[in-house]
Amino acid sequence: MSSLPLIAQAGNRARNLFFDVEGSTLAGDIDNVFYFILWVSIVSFVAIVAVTGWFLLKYRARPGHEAVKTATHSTSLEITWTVIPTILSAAMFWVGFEGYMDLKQAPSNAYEIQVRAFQWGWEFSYPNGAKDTDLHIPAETPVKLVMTSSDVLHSLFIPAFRVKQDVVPGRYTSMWFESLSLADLDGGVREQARTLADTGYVELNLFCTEYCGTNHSGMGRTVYVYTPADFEAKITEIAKFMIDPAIPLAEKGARVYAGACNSCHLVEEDAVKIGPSFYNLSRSIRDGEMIEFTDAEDASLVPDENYIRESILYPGEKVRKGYPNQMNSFLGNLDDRRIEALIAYIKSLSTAEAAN
Amino acid sequence: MATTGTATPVAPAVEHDAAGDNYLTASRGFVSWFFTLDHKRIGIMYLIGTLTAFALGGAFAIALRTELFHANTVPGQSALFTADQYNQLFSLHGAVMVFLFIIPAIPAALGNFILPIMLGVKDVAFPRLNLFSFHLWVIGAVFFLLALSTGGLDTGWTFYTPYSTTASQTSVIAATMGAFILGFSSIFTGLNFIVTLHKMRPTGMTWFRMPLFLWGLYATALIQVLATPVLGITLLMLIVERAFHIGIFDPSLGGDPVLFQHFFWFYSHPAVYIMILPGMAIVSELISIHSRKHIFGYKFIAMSSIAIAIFGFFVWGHHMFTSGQSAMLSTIFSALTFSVAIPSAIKVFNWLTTMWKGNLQFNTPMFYSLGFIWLFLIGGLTGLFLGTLSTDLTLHDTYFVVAHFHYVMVGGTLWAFLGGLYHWWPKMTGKMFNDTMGKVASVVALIGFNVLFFPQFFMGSQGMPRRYFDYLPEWEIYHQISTIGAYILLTGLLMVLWNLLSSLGKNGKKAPANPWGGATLEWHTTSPPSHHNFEVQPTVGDPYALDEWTWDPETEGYVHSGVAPSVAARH
Repeated sequence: MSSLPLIAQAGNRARNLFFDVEGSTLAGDIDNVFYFILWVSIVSFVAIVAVTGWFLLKYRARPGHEAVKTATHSTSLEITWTVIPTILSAAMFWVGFEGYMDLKQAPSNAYEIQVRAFQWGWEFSYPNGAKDTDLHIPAETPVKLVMTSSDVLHSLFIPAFRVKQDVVPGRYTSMWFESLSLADLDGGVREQARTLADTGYVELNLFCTEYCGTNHSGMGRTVYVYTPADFEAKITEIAKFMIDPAIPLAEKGARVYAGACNSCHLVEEDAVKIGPSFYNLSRSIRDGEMIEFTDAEDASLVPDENYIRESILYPGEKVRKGYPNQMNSFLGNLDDRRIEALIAYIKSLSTAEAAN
Repeated sequence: MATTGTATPVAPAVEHDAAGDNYLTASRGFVSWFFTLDHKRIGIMYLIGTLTAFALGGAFAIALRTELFHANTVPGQSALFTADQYNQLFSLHGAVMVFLFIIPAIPAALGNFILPIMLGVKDVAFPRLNLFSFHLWVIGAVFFLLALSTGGLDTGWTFYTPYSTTASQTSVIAATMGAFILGFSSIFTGLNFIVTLHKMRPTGMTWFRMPLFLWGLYATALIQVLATPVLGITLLMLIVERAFHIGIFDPSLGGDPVLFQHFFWFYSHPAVYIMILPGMAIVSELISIHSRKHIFGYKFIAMSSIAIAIFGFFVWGHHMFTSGQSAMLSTIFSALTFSVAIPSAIKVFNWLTTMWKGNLQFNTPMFYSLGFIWLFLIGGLTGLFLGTLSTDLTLHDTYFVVAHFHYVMVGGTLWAFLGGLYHWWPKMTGKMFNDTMGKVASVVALIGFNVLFFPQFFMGSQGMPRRYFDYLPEWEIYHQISTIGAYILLTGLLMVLWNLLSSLGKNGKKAPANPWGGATLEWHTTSPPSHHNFEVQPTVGDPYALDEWTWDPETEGYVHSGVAPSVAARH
């Protein structure tokens, strides 16, 4: 069964009325179940609305028309309209069950990626030690995500793969998928994605679908799908990035920022999303300005490296005046190397400008 | 209020204590209302209270739909609200609509007013308990207002842990206390109805001669009494964990967050049927009366209500297919979920057959009944996608679900509630509304509702998650259509309000005792009823013997053509 007519054109991308691009080996089966139920529903709906419409026309109250007394009960009719929906719903249950079993049983050779969700972001860890906040995967390879949460419930949803699984603190949940080839994936629902021809990879949507607080809707990230060879190169590059001596510390910090901090902190002057601007913090460090706190032993201080480190690991210790005490600890999520890189990056925000 | 005409020799019994005395005029003053034991006055107070809550919940809805008109591509810009404010809007919209409006609206407002009169009795079994239920509703509402004014609520109406117990900075305890108290209000109403229906049915009214509205209220009451205590326990545990850090649900305290979901949905799924069963029950009355036909398949409709109430207890896990519960549990819950679809389908087919060869009246209650059937059909059919395991995994927690349950809760329950309100309005107030305007308002609301929620099926299946303050630009067009629909729906509902309120003024036409030709007992008494409902005990007959009533152009109402010495025969 094919998808219904196209209704919108976004750039050169055609968009379906239902569903993102059919991106995984199981997506087609799931869509077929969806369209089976859809057609049963459309036929039932049209039939019932047509019958009511016809009755409204034929039996509408008008001069000279009266209700006709008919039987008030018919066991055979009741049995008929009990049995038919029973058979249809049994069929729906069965096809849904079969598809579900496929979704629940990851192949034993699946490539494993560890996932940690937190308020408000993701950390994807690869077997070679690479860590990133977007998901990178090889096409045409079974991938299994083993997931847990650092704080509250989250849920990982990749619409193109038709998979979703809650991420629960204190336990591991998992899901798996096998992406189709890059050519098959191109042209998804995503409006601002670059095309395969430009980049050599495909970008897909990834969302958090279990409400998790202030920035729940800011947990959307990108799934990058590569050819298996490009994928190896990519995660090698990510793994080496943090230890490559040729890359300046601040540049490494910029990547840490993009993954861990930018869902709440912005780097433009006076720009506030949830927490204070990193540019302003950087300027305070540079100029020796005091910053003020609520509920801290010292009501104010001149920020330095120790302040940044403490705020990352124990954010409740000093809460900036005018901001909520909302940040979660990154203890265990960010190692010393990353924290140092981040400190260098924050300091560079205002000093780079001063050097110019 | 004056009598509607001169008494005729047919109905001498209509003469009562004082001319024009009815339940509205029997006594005056705040105390005579707020501490009344009269089920009719309690019903009217519930009506005003729940409609006020509906207006509040609706204001939150309009605010959040307005916010969603634009995608906030630049953080903080073009936004009317902050993310935190938005999260409070959807949480309070859900909590107020569910706990203060939908659950009590039909049973406690319309049910309270109609149930004893349909039984031909003076009151419910426990009038004081009935008043206490209402007072608990008021106290629960006060707790919600307290939460609203002391930090709000940002957990969603579902209060999922551990967010609600450890992370949320809002007044979770005040709001959950409110829901806890409202739960008791609901239990007491249910208990009262069960006892009333068991012990006070008049001579001749066997279980299967009971109007279907009462069957629906009975099934609802069973759920209220059996399921709501579980909500109470769950909310208390939540409060204990939040206030005293005793680990029940939070894994960092040694608890299990999925356990909360089991407890919560063990109540909240049956609660869905607390919301929809009374709606189905109203439509069963309305379709028959306004088609001028005896109801078809009475026993199947009655028993399907009971079946839904029972099956409803065994399907809660279908809210949790992605929660991490075992695949075995999900499979069992999916199979059981489909069992609920069947009694709902049976009802729809019986309503259609009732209309067949009828004399269909194109009046406002009928418009709402038809709207109910069509909208509930969409709500029910889209439920099939969510009960099916493999498709639910992709649709869960997207706008597809939002659209689905609004088709059931608004398209279903609200439409039935408004249909019932119009249907019994003449009985409750003694005034006839402007039927043309009622129909126009209903069509405007129907269009607005569909424009509002239908596009959400598409964006949901494409992946737009629910409870999102911000979204990707590809969904902006769907959100904009949706928001425009919200304003059309608002217009329709304001027309409904004006339509009903304007009938109460001096120019409002007086209602006859039986404007629709219904055969249930509430149409045997005056409009509005006297303080004691009936001056003479009405004779119980077939509640759907509509052909015993004939149109009387002089009174613009129906009169009984049989020999029953009914007060309804008065002009």
